Amino acid sequence: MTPRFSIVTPVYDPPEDALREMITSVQNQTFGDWELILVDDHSPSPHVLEVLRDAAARDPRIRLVERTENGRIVVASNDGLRIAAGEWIVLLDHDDLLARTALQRAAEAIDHDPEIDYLYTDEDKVDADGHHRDAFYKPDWSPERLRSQNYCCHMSVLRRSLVEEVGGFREGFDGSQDHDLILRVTERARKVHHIPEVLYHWRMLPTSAAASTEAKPYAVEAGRRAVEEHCARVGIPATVEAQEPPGNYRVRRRLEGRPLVSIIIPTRGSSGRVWGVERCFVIEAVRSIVEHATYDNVEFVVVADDDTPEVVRRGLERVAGDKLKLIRYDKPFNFADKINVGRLHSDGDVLLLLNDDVEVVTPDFIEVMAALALEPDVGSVGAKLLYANGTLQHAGHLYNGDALHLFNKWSADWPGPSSMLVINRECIGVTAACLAIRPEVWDDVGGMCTDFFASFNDVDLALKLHESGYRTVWTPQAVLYHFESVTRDPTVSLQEVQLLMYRWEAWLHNDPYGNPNLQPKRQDWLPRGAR
Amino acid sequence: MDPTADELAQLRAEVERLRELVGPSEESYEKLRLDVLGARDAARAAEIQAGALRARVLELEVLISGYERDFEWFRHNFIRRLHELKRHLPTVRSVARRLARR
Repeated sequence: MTPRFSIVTPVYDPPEDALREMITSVQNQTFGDWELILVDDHSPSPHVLEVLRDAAARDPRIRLVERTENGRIVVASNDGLRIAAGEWIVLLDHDDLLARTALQRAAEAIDHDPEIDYLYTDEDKVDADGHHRDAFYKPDWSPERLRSQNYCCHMSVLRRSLVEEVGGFREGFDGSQDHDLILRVTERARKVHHIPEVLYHWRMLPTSAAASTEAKPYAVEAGRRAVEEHCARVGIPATVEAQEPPGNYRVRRRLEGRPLVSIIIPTRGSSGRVWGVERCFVIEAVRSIVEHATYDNVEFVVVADDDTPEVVRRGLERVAGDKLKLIRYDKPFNFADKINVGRLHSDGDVLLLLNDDVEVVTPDFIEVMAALALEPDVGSVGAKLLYANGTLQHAGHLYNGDALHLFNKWSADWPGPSSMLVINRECIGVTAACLAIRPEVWDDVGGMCTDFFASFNDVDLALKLHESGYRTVWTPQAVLYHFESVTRDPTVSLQEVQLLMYRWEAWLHNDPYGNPNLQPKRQDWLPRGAR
Repeated sequence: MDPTADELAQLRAEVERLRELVGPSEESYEKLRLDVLGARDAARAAEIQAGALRARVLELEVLISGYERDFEWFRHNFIRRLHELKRHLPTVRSVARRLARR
């Protein structure tokens, strides 16, 4: 009878204790229908074969492949795959540990949904003293993030037929072979599932990958090529660069053609002091785009309240010239309605909603955001926004019992947990202070709901997009200052809060890009306390 | 009156006012402008330094709240139970003594 799971473990010279504990962690599983395939890649230390032969002799579920020469991890892993009989492949490194319920949880998920072709779990690290640390609480399926880093990693459970279909591990990708395989499998998977439980423990031995701070250059380059080839396969025109910290990749999309970008700016022409100097926000926002942005096929659709000073209107005309469409707004203040009016007067292939109190930092922010927004399954795109004092204002939303800005007021150059602040990734929503969206997507979800006249209109838009099946992507490649504290009235109306709860309460506790292991109502990724 | 002419007159008056402030030389106006830009950059650098410090404070606050919460859990689950155990200690001791006498 074929087992449910084939656990494939290439082995090359691990410490004896770690190797024994790895095998024991499999034997201790609460779900027993598995086989463990140990592939010794011609380890030089004699204890390795002794331990493996002993384990195989004692437990019929353990199968041993003894290689007569060292072929490195890809060749050894493929030897394991070749004899695997289980319906599912589980990847386990030779010195790591599975949690006791790892296979049981995987079996339950698979039984629950037969369309799952790939699943992954949360993971942590175990130091030499046996202490667990650095738990990695992952988001649900996040393809943009997988292009930026192998966040799925361990524990990965792959349908064997699909692994065979894509040809297993590829030679030439040693060090990043898992990332390459997961990319190729998920391209064809019907469904990807995430179990938000720590079911895999990386060992932090001086010799293991989890403890090393220096990534091997060949592995980084292999990872870069894996992502680059993936982009080519799925039709994303992009260049891929390795970035710090090692193991992260910057996918730079190329903007094809010269689409018209409509920059919609609602304003009342207010002024304020930034860095000690008085400025008229909307004029300086438009000026910073005209003078610093590298993309010029734009139109400025400025929706100005009736009481906007005449001198501001003239200033806008002077700065933006014939790219300006100045729309008078004569109704009582309603941010959502002003944006909707802006959309009606836009002719662009991409809409870029922009608050009037911003200033450009990365000159190519329009190309970056437009290229992402033009991907068919992308709903909206958000940017990295900074306060005047250089701290983070916006790095994507997190709906964690409340609608929150992730890492608000944290240092802008901090990479964040698992480098989440330096990579492109999906999030549930992004702020309308700087948001790119295709007009057809905007129309598809009916634009902004005008009942949210001041607050939460972007949260409502984000959840409408999510419910319609679109991805929202946040990118740190587009950076702007947002002088929000200067212009924002912090009052939130009770009516808007109630409406948000009425419409979306369940989603505010169920962010697919958050994690149930995080402390509710916090924006700083603080894990829940011991329970 | 033509609004453009009106605005022009206002601007001329403003130029005159500024000239009175900085003296007759174009050069001194330019110097003043550079001073303003210099002051702006200094203000910006100071604000960014303050931002970096605030961010560090925030980071430490989050760490402390994590530790506090973990300690609260520890206090609740261990220290409180230790006290409960102490309460029962005399009974345990007397039972042990009785058993030892047998």
